[in-house]
Amino acid sequence: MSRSREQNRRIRKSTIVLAAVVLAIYFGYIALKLYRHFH
Amino acid sequence: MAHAIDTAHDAHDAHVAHDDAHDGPATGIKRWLFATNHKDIGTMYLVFSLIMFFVGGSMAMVIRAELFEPGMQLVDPAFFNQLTTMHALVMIFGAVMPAFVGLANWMIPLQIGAPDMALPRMNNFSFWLLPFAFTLLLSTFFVPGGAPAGGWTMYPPLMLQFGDSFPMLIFAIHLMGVSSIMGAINVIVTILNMRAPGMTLLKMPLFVWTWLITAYLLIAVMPVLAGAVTMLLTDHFFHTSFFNAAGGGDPMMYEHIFWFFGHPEVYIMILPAFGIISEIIPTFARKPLFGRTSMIYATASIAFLSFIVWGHHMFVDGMPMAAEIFFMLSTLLIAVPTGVKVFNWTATLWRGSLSFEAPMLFAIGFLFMFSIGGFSGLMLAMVPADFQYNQSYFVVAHFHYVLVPGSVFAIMGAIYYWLPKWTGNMYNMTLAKTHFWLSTIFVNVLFFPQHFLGLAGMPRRIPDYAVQFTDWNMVSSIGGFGFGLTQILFAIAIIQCVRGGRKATAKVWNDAAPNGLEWTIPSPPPYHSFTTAPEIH
Repeated sequence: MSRSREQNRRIRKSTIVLAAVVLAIYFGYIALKLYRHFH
Repeated sequence: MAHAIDTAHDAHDAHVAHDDAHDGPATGIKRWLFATNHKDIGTMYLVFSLIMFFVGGSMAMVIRAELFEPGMQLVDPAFFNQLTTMHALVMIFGAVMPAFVGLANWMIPLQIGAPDMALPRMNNFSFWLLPFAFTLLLSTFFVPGGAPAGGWTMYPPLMLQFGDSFPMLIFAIHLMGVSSIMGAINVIVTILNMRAPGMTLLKMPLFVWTWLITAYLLIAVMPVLAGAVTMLLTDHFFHTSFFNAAGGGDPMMYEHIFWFFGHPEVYIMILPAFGIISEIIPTFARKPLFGRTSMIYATASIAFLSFIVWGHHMFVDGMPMAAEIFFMLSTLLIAVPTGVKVFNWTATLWRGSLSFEAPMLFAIGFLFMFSIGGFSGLMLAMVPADFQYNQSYFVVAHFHYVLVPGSVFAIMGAIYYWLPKWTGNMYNMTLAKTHFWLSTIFVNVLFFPQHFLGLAGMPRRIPDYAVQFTDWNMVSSIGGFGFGLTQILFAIAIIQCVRGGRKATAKVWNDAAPNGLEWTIPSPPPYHSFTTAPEIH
């Protein structure tokens, strides 16, 4: 069973959103602590 | 083999389903190194987990041997601390979590009617990070200064004082985190996009539901752990002072960040277990799961509450009274959705036509013994009581009851439930039942006396103790050796089943008529599970 173009698009979109959330939490957390440290 | 689901084939997708025919496993080592098939990767996760279970278990054997009687007998105190730290890290990140990911890999595509996971190459990468991470972690035993010895929580400033093992530990934790995050992304993307037509979210099996919620927990908290250990790393090597009071930092902040990860992590290790129990009990009670929808809402409630209870790990560390009361009450609140679950499982058993095959025995064992761990958790949740129990063996007894006859029994139940489906062979049921009964007896001999030791005042994480604690420590150690040796039966049962045995039918548990898509395909399943999506009505 091949995946449809639409299904691939949805898979790509949800993967990118989840990866962005992970990176945002990781760098956001460190950035927040840095900001709090210097202010 | 993964060509059928290869995203690089987008351009062809609109045309025809063209490349199913030549699919099949590669031969030799390539099958495993370059695996993109969910079943192969699931198998590798489960084998890895079993190996780590024995590695972590052997550390526990040395710990219990040293604690068999007071005084120092076998190991020096520094090595003892290394063992307690590494035992926890190996069991949490190497045994329990990979076992659940292995089960997810095997069962989620089968249960939702998908041909494979949505992101098969990332799946391969997720797995193959783990052997490297754990080689790195375990090799710290051989570097100057030995392995990390500050506890799996890695609190600064103690953690910052370790030698060569420190950066190796941090890198290993990062690798495990990356692996878990990629695994979680794969699970969510698969469940949201690859379900068979007609399988609405509420129609999904409970194991899939609990894994979906677990994956969201992983996405939310693994980057927090990674952030915390990155800050530890920069404190150690780049002279930042996130957690260094002398530089204006705050070591307490680490504890808050760690436990903001740590408490949801506890539920990451138990929610999939809840899903497994919700699959096994209805099959062997021959009744639909009682309160199915409420089970899903209860799981989601537990996941939500897991984010607002972290302070209960830090009651004695100094916190405003209002915060202590908030964390106490929010923690006690978790008993409500957990109670809903235990009630529903019991109600499913009520007037069911019960039979007690090995998976059912493990499920019922889970129900009783996980509840013991849950109740001692309620005791620990109360601030004034926790002032007494904190840092004692009572805590050790509590979390081992939740994790061993809780998570580990659920994993064993799942293996015994689905192994005939995976291999096409039935295992030796007498051997499996013997494994259950000996495990149950020994796990209680091992951990129940630790409640008494803790209440009597024995601190945790110590290699030596006052003589009045000797008797129960001896009992506990005997239970430990028994439990450890009993697990050899588990390995034998699995190996025998993989090598051959009475053939299993597609339904496996014929007279119990189990419910779910995985039972509609042959045992063992074809290399690509559902090449045509099944219709769900």
